Amino acid sequence: MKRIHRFRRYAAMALLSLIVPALLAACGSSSKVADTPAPTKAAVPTTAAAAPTTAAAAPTTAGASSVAATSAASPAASGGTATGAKSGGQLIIGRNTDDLITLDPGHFYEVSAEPLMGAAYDPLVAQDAQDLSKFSPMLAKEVPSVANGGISADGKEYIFKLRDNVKFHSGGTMTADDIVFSMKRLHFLQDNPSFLTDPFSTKDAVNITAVDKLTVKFTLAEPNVAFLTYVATPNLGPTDSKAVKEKGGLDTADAKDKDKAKDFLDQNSVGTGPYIIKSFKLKEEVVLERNPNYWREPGKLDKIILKYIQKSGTERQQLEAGAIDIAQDLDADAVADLQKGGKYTVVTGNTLNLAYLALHTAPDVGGPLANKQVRQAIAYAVDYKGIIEGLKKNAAVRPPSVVPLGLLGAKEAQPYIINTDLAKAKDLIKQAGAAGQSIKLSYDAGGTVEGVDAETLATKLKADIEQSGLKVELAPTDPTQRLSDYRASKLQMNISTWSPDYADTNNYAGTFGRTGQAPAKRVKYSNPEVDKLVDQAAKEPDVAKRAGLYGQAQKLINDDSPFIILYQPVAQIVTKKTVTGYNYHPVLLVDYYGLAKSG
Amino acid sequence: MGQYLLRRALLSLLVLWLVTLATFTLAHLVPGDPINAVISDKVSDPAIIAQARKKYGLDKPAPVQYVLYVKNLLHGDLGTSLTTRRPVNRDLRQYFPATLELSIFAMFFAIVIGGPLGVLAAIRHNGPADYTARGVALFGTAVPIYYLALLAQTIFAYHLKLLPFSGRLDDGVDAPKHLTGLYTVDALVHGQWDLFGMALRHALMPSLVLASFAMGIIARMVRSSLLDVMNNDYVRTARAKGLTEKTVILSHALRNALIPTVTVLGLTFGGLIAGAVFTESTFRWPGIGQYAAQTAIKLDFAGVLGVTLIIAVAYILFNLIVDVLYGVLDPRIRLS
Repeated sequence: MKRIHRFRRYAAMALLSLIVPALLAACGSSSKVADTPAPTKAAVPTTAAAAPTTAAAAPTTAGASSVAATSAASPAASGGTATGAKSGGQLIIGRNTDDLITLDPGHFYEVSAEPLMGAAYDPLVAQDAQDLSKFSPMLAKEVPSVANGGISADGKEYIFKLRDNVKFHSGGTMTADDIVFSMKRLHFLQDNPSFLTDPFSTKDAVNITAVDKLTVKFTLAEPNVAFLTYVATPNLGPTDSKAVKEKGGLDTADAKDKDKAKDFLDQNSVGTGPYIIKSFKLKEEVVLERNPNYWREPGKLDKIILKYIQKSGTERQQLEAGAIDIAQDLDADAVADLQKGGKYTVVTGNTLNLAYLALHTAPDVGGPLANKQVRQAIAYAVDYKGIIEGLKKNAAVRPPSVVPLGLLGAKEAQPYIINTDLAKAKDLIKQAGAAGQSIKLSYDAGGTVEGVDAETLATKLKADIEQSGLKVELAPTDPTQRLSDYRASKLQMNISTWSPDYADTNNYAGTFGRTGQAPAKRVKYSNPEVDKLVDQAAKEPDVAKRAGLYGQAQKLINDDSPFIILYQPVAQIVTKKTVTGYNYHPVLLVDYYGLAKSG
Repeated sequence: MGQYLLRRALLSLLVLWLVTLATFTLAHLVPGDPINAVISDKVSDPAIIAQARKKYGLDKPAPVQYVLYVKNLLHGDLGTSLTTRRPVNRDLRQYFPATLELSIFAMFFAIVIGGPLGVLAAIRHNGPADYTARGVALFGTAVPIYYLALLAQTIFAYHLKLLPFSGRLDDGVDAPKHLTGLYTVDALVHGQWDLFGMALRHALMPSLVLASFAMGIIARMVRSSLLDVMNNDYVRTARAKGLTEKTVILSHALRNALIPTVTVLGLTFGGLIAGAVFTESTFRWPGIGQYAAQTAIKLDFAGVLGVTLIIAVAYILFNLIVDVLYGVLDPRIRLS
């Protein structure tokens, strides 16, 4: 009897150890899902109220341009303000931010950083998300043009007149010297984004001068009509030179090795944008707070948190449980499911990304691919419709050539699109005498290609291409190795992707088509006719003429078929109904300034 | 004892050196090119690539790279991570405390749940309690941690909303002032009770999941060793002396049964760290498990080596503690 009693005690002990954690959990449930603002930070929201005076002082023209900038303004944006989205609140965005490593405008070059940097560092001029050929003034009082004297007649000088009394997050007032400093630092840091200064710099000199306190002049080596798209990138957003220098920042040739400001800029912002970077915890979150001294009307949210969530499945659960307001990378099935319920808003937009096949054009590496007919045959053999509908679940479109839909010159290439035609493919292979020849298709082992499993895509391509009479050997390769081999021009045929550095056609026609530029060089593609057309287009200020030149260039590129564009993904973002003003932006992903949350 | 510790320390150094050599060799045998971690895929200019290789010391032959690495290591410098582009020392200082906190909680749960469970199973040998306890232990060891993590998240965070999904604190909350990097400890020291509670709540689910494997092993070890010693003469003698069953089991039987368990404990620690990779990525726990996975994918040698070294050091220390514990548990065992 006594024994049994003791055994009970042991049983109770074991049980207790199981129950205690459960109890602990239950006790904590009061603030359960992390949606509620943290108690320790309760003081934050009120600071927003302190904002108004300076905001009201913002020039009226600013108000007008703010509408223009957010007028990207599909129904959602205007609907948001109309339904009276109240000012304030905290918005949590879920995203796989595996790529995020720095928030220094002189160093960052990662996709996930774009919206953060866009919110913290206003550019001189902004590119319209809906119509990429339109620009609106931001820190510059007007968009320079030949007509207003902002661009010289020869197209080589750009003069920006700056807004007066614009405050940096760090407290200083913006002057032309800050712009000069920021451009020089970006250039001399010699990191991934430094090439954005290429149009107005040589290795040792950056051709930018402060004409007076509020006027800055860029001198280009040669006319470049895409220059404003460079200026619109967050990397070129002005920084407070005084604050950066205080933290060890340099704008001299030795910046590459001696600049010490990165640690500070990773955690703080010194731009002029509507939101201030408050903290950045790698693999956890980035926290932004409203800039109360913003030169336009301040942003609508007190706080924006970009939360790292690695997997699509978890992201969906968190959205449904209310732990996040916006899910940026759900897979197509999840988007379709959530759309059905009617509880969420699905925002879509064409990205400027491309998934493509690269075919080596030189005989030593390309083998049979050195023959144009074989490359064309592959272009005719691929089942584009099957890939977009079956593998991308329709979350993609197909551009006619190397310029994505939405950019100048895509429309003009439409007549030259190559559609699936198996008979033609077989015929071309026969003419080339390449039947039965084998081609090696390299792709990222275990990787994805713009949302499609690389293995699945490669298998589909093999099946398609083999119908033409060629043989395809699949070569799954370590992603870092494939990239190195592709870069070294060693791959016969591989699946690769492209995303924009700046939103202009020249970043596509001028890189895929131009001899010696990134993708062209990697497949040894060179066509002097194409070179001439894209060089001419880069300098052509007349929009219609320029578009025509790109159309012609793409006709030739399609005929040569060194690249076969498989698809251009459509971004699908799911937000709670309470979120308004979410508009897809092809470069920034989303402009945080327009975001608001009701209820 | 002092001599013993010195010998162990020297042996540990040898082990650490072999660890660096093995990791470095393995890392270089894997096909791939680490430079892509720092260079944008758009860059084609060979000059820029060559410059980056030089900056990160990747332009030299592998043996030279290794010698340089060891030389820097002796000066306490673990090199620069290609993934985060920060000194590895700094990365580890940031990530290790998170893993340490998680592991301490996990070890705690593994012992306080697994131990009693094993005792219960042994004393109710072949009874329903035994089967239940063995079932729980089997579940803990058999179900893969990544699956358990998703399962727990779905049940407790998604459906029941009892526990937060992930992270060390709620979204947007600043960490307590840095002292040890263990949020619960730092919050306690600074008297930030709300943060302490929050950190504890966040640590609960990931540490229980991480504990599952070790818990199962401990329960099974305690059960079988206790069953072994229960039939020994000294247990019968203790009972014959008229000692209470509690004293017999806790002071006489259990103490002897613990020796093999403690040995296993040392070995399970390795499994705990391996499990951390899965647990941390599911629960967005910014520890060295996540860091290891991230740096390994990018073939970031400095990062991978840093993690390997710190795990090796922890492993060696933990097993040293286990060895010292033998002496405490059984005075007949002398460390010499």
